[in-house]
Amino acid sequence: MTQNDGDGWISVSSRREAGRGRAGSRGRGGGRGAGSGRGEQRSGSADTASSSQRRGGGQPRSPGGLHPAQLTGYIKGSSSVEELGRLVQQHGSSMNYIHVSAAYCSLAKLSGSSAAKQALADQLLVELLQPLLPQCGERACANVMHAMARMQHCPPGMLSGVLGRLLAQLHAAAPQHLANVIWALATLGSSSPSAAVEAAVAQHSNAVSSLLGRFISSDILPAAIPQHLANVMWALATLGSNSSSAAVGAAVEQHTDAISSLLGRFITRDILPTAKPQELANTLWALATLGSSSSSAAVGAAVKQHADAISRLLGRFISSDILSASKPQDLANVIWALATLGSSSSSAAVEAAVAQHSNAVSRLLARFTSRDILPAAKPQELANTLWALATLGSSSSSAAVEVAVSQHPDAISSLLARFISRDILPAAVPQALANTLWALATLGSSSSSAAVTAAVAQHADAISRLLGRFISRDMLPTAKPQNLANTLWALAVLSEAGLIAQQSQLRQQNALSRHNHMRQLLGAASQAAPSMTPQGVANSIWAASRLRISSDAFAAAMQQAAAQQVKAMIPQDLANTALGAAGLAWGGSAGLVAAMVQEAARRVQGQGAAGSGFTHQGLANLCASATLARLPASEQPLQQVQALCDALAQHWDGPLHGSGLASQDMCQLLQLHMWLQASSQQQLPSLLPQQQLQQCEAAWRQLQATDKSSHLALQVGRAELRQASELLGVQWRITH
Amino acid sequence: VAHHALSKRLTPLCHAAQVLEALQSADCGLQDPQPEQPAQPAAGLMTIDILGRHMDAAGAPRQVAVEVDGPTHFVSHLSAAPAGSGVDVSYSLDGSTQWRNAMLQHYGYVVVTVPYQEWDFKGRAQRVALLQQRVRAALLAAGVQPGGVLAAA
Repeated sequence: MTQNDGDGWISVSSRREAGRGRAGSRGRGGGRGAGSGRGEQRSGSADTASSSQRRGGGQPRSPGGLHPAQLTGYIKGSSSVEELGRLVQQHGSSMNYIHVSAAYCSLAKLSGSSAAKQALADQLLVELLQPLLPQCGERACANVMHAMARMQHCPPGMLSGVLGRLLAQLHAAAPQHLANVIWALATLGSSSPSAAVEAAVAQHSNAVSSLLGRFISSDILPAAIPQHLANVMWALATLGSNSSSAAVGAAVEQHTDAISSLLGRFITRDILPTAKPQELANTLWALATLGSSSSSAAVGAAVKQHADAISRLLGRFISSDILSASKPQDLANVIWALATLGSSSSSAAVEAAVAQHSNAVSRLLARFTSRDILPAAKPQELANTLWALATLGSSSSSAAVEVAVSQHPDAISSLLARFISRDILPAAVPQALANTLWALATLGSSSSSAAVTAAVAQHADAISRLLGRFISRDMLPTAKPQNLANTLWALAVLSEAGLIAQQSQLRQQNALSRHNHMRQLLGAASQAAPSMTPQGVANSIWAASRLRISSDAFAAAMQQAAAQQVKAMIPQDLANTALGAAGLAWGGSAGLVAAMVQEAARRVQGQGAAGSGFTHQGLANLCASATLARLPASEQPLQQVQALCDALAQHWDGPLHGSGLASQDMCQLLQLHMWLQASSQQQLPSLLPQQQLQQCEAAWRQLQATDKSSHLALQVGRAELRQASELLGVQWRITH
Repeated sequence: VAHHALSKRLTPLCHAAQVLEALQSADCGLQDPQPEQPAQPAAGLMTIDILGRHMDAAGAPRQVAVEVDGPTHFVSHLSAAPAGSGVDVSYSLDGSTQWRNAMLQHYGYVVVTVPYQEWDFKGRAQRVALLQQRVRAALLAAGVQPGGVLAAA
């Protein structure tokens, strides 16, 4: 199961996971974040059976004396599962496939006890429909699949049966049927609670391919309306980015032309003005998802060619008539898409297209925080919007967008106040809480706007309420590993930003309560450690060191997880793990730091400093870790730290990834030099050329002058920002 | 609340001043304690909170570095209290502070640390006893036979 559980959560895993391969990568693509919409149609989802009914008009009356059309009418008029069940018991034996499919579709729309509903669904599909499948028309097949997806009901063999029957009549399927089936496959394939169902969908990658090919054919596409286009686009994004199946992903990848075709149709003069808010929002959401999270570079590239279409969709969404008809979910999806497209795309054209609409942020926020909308927004919509604002406000490459966010501290304040209100907070799931804490940490610490930071600071009480809710008995056991890692990370950043009181600043009672919260959080993180991504492990260790907390179980679990994941860690993970472990000074810290330094040296030596992806800061942090862990000045560790120092010396003034060598980096290098010289039995050659060493000394003296109490310049600021962005999988751009 | 926060921020400085005052006014085994002294040979690179001199059992002077460590020098280790839902907290020095101590030892200092948890909430006599005990323990750990008031302790 992927991280997009179909509830539309923004998953804050690393976008970096993309491209690392599909198999076994639980976190893959999670950073893409599904917006809040599942893309389900609000109306017209299942075709009516009326015309089919006419076709069936010549059938004999049932033994109960009902005319087939009458029976269809009763079925569709059923107002409860029980009523529908009675009809099926009475007339089941005489029902044709139209009746059975109508009954099944009606059932999908009824609320009722899940056991009764499940039993009736099984009876209709397995007992009644299966024998009738050879006669089943394409429309009924499409409707049944749509209902299967709505109910997440997929008995063994039925998906293949219904889909196979539909494919046999593909030529006859109308745009709506095709769109419904593609939507159903995406829904079953990505958000099913059962891995077996996802696996069943995965076996039908050829079907996905055939359906998409047919939908964009010249027979069908010109007849498609915005709803069909938006649903197929949504399905493409869902299948392409979150599917657990490599085969389905590959099928989507083969249809990058579908993106062009769908968009081309969507922005035509006869379509765009007729699109509803939800259709526009879902299409933007899908584009953002496809453009950012797909493991396929080809799909990403296809999206990036459509900056103009993105601009037109966005322009249309923020027009007065659409905006005034939009719902919270639409707004949350568009703001999310804006954040994702505007900050993470490697395409300057897409970013520029988003930046052109810097007024979009103001308009969207004004609508979202209006009296009509805000009280109706669900927890995840609020959380996603806060997440998007944090992303837009801190990492957008467009200064205009960043400024637009900074002008709305009041909106941020309203969203936050609403999120922690009594109506919303108890209904928020762990991911919403973790994402909101992340957003608070990002907005509170890195925003360029003092007004935004002040707005967050006004809600300092929100942080403890969010944390209190997160660690409550009904929440904590359901938190995913990534939620735990993100929450720890957010708390560390908030603590460093002074937005939550340092432990030592609390009165005794509050200090004990905080310790208790932290103990529970660490306990849950310890249990989740084996399932955490390398980044999750690295960030948890880093966060604990910044929060200055640990426990025996946490130390053991994290050290084991980190040691196992060392090869899978990206440079920043290696540096964060090493620095965190060294700071916490666990019993096994020296061994873990040595492993991280060894791996880093191996990469730097094998691929070069630039090729291995290290920043100056990352290399300097690894050197600092070696110092703090007091690695012995013996041959092997010396060679390894020398490799790291050589890489820095070679790129001293020149570019490496990131923003260049900072004075704090130099202080860390000097400390390493001091440590090795002091601890070695013999005179060691200098790790760095004399001139560079002198620069390090000058930097150190300056730091001592400004903060005498600081014995080690652990780096915050740049590190926080980069981590914040990478947590969400956003490519961080250093702008300062 | 603001006053509370401010006083907490100043606490580390207050602690150092209190320790210095205690060392100067009572015989804790250290002579001529001086605040904020450069560590040799890393002059300008490291500063010692309080530097003093101890005459060992053989009458030889030993350089003693006294470091007064506030909350930012510790990691809190959290575990469930045996009684129930509470939390037990123990403390250990963080990596940065352990490195500092190791460096000073390499430079030849006997390192005495005064953790804030042991300093707070104690009367004057207890504080003097604490200092004597920690200086003596540090000397012994460094292989030095204590002299003077610490010889008999």
